[in-house]
Amino acid sequence: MIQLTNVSKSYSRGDTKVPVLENISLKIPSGDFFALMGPSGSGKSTLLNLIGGIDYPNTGTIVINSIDITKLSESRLTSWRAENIGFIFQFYNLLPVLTALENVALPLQLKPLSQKKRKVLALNALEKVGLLDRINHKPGELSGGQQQRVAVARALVTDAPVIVADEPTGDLDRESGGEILELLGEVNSNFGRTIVMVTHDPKAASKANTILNFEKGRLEESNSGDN
Amino acid sequence: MIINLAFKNLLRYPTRSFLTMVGVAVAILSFGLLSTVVESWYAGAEGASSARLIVRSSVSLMFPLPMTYKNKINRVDGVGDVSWARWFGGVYKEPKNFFPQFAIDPKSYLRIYPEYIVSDDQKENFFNDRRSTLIGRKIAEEHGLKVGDLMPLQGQIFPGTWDFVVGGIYDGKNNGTDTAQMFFHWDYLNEEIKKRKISRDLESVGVFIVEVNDVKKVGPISQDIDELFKNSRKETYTETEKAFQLGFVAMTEAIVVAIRLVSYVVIVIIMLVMANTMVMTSKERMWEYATMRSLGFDRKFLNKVILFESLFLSGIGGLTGIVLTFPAATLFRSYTGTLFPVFEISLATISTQICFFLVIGLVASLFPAWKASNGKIVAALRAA
Repeated sequence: MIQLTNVSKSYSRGDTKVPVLENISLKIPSGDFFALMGPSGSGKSTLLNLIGGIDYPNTGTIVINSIDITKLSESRLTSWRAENIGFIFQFYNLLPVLTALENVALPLQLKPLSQKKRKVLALNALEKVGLLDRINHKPGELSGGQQQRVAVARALVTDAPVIVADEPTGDLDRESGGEILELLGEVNSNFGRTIVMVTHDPKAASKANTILNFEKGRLEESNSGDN
Repeated sequence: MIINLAFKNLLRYPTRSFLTMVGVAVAILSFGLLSTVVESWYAGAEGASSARLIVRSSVSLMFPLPMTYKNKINRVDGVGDVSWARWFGGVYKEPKNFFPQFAIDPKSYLRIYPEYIVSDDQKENFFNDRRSTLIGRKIAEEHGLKVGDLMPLQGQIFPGTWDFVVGGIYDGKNNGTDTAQMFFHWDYLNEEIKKRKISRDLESVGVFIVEVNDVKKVGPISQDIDELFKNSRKETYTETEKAFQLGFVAMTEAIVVAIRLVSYVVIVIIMLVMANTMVMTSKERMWEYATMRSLGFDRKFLNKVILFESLFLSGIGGLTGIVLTFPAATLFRSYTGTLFPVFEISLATISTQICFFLVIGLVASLFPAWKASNGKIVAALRAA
């Protein structure tokens, strides 16, 4: 369960404070496929960053699986992320010097596993996203869709209960984007991961179980997706 | 993982990495070479014995001392042995073939300077033939001279042609011993001066070399010697051999300081160049570091990746520079001939080179490491 209570976030621009999120409270049940929709600058990515534990709110609490992550120190939050969050970024954010296999195995470096075990787990993750034939390819040698599949495999490999995806189809063509959404749907339904996805594409959002609309830092309305 | 990632990052832009390494290699090589030049400047002083004193004219080294002083010096309490030498200043074939030439008393001189190693038969050759000369190994090698060869010098201070025969070739006891000198009989010079009527300074020497029995008493003995000749026509100034040699270095100290300064400036410049390279590369990769932090990698991990990459760059470049210092020094030595009698790369120079490339690597990584681990993850991800 992800529970946000009265979460506010603002950024300083010179002497003035620009509010981005204002008193946001919401609950996301475990195992949900949750979409945050809204125009650019509405604060949806900021909210996703707070849930992913890569930013702190100014006020409010964020409790994920019984842990209030706003109370964690930066170093503890870093360890917490390694255990609990899988990230999928709009531009894939794969390390260009590493192969697909090495990129997927990267988060496993933080776990006390043997090299062999890491390789097996990474291969399993790549198999789930259908990229076993590309394991030795570097990101530059893969298409956008394939790179995003590698990113999905990297988010899956640590068995993190929550996957946060920031515009995962934003840089892909319609066909590749559709494939990634299908994949996220399978990850959610087959592996029971909670997925929190930010998108401005209604078609992408429709794949989610729950859709939350964002407008100028406030929640506007909630819908249910196709699922 | 850290080393693997650092190494892969290094190979990301091979040309940039290669050029940076070449820069570090050239800087470390330059430092090594310049440092060796400075050290060779001081080599004479370093090799000087603390048990030897040099007695010279108090006015200037240019003014000779009368030979009659020898017996008086010998009688000073604490003096063990006395020898003498006179600067000749001749040219062998061409003026560029510079090496010091001294007219000496062969037996006492070689007693006082045991670091000049000569075989017994060559020593006998040298002792027994007044026209014979004892040359250092470097001179012999540079000019292809061997025992028995004729070695004419064109006198500059004492005009005319001076014919010598190589009677012996000496080696140094250690690497710091100057083997680019030529010695011949003071008796021969003195006789020829008389015969040729080319100088008023008959029966004179440039310096007396005094060996003391007790190193701790060099101060009082020096004073006693100078006291002997006080208020005479030719007063003396006595100092340790080391102080005497350093006096020569002091004449050119500005050049030495300039060389040393340049060698450090080179290091500072390459440090800035490398820091710039590391700042550029890490700036390009800020989103990667932010991604890694998102995945759960902590600051220490990122700092180590950046530090190792920087150390790889400076290390490979630095080690290449150190290795290349040796052939460069050989080349330099062959070009400068006997100008630097002792030109050896010291352990201290190599150690300093190692320290410098480590410091270069460390310093160049500081700012990028700080930036990578202290910037906001969200802000860095936005730059992806």
